[in-house]
Amino acid sequence: MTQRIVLTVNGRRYGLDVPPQKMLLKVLRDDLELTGTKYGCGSGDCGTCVVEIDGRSVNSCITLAVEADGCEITTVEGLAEGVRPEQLDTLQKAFVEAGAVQCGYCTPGYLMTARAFLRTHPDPTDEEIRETFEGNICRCTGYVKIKQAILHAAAVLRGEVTP
Amino acid sequence: MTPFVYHRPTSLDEAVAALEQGPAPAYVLAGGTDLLVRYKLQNQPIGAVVSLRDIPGLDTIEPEGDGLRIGARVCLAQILESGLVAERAPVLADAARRMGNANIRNRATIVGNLCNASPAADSAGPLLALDAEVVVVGPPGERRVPIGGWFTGPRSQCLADDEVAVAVVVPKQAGVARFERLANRRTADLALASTCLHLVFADDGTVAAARVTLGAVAATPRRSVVAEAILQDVSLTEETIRAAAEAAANDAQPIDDVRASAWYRTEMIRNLVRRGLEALAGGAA
Repeated sequence: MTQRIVLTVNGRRYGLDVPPQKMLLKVLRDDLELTGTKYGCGSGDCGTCVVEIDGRSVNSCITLAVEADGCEITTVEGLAEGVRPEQLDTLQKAFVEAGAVQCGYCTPGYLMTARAFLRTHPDPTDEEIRETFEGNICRCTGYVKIKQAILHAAAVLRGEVTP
Repeated sequence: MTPFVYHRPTSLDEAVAALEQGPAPAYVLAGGTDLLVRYKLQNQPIGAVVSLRDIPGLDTIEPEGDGLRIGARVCLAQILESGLVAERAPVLADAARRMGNANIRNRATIVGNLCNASPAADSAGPLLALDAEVVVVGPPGERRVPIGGWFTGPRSQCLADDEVAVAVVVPKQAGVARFERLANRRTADLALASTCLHLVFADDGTVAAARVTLGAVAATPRRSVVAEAILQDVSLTEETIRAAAEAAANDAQPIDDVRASAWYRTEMIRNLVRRGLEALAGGAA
């Protein structure tokens, strides 16, 4: 049994028939072939599956796709304007420049959590970053550089430094 | 994963009908951060899911009298963002800040935390301390359950199979409150022990009313009336604080589990109650 839903993902509308028990992550990866969003713990602890739904960062591995029916979703694929390095968005550039990417598996989730976070915290403190990213785990443990990247991206977005 | 039937009603009447229609077991879905994790990772059987998503009026925090009414779809992030909560029940935000993680807090709800009814439910302490009520809708209509009678055992509460918890109402209370919590990890982990303390001081500085709650150290979140009785009508001194903490520890009935031993939980609830009361005594002086 399936349910008809409409998802707007990175500005593009998709009509889909999905089983009610199917998680949004599976729909993004398997049906829409947007494989940037990763599967990690499957229980909302590690944060690698994070996407934005209507402006809030959420764990797509424990969100039913049918619950996102009619919503605006942004995945990591929605950040860059193109495939060339200069077309990356501010956060992505900051992650590259800071060396905040090691194996890269956690990176999409960090970027999506950071994107929503910086909208509400344009000038974050170290402590706010540590608290907010408690739900994002980097198994390579590159946390210091991830924090530096987020601080740098925030400064760029505030117009205080050039990228 | 085993399929289930998905209902997305647009009114509470339809939601109650959908719960009756099932198939059983039918569960109400708000944020899903407990239900769907149990479904995925612990093989929780689900016959039907009844989504609250399209029912109007459940996603807001409204004033009710001097207090608050928090709808069943209000996520923890909304609790933290709310000026009304900061003004009328700030200790609830103190607890919400310690729950889950930032991404979970964008889905998980206070009412869901109450329905999930973990003995360690962090929102329960503040709600018990502030004499909250759960608003429940079922076939006969609406009823209000005082939070003290809500929890019936580990992971169980007094909701009938065809009832929906639609809101929690938190009265505004005078006085000062504090939430203390200990976990192995700071976030994304259940509390080993937690307490919420709420005190109203008389003009002479003695305690006119006290609430001491116990989290994760009994079958349900609950108040320690013996600890509260010790604080009643006395001044907060090293001696009275120590006595109340000791009473709370004696009142606790923790279990040994993967997170901590019963002995450790008892020691920690004593320390948390003492620490919280000391902080409130400092604030009152």
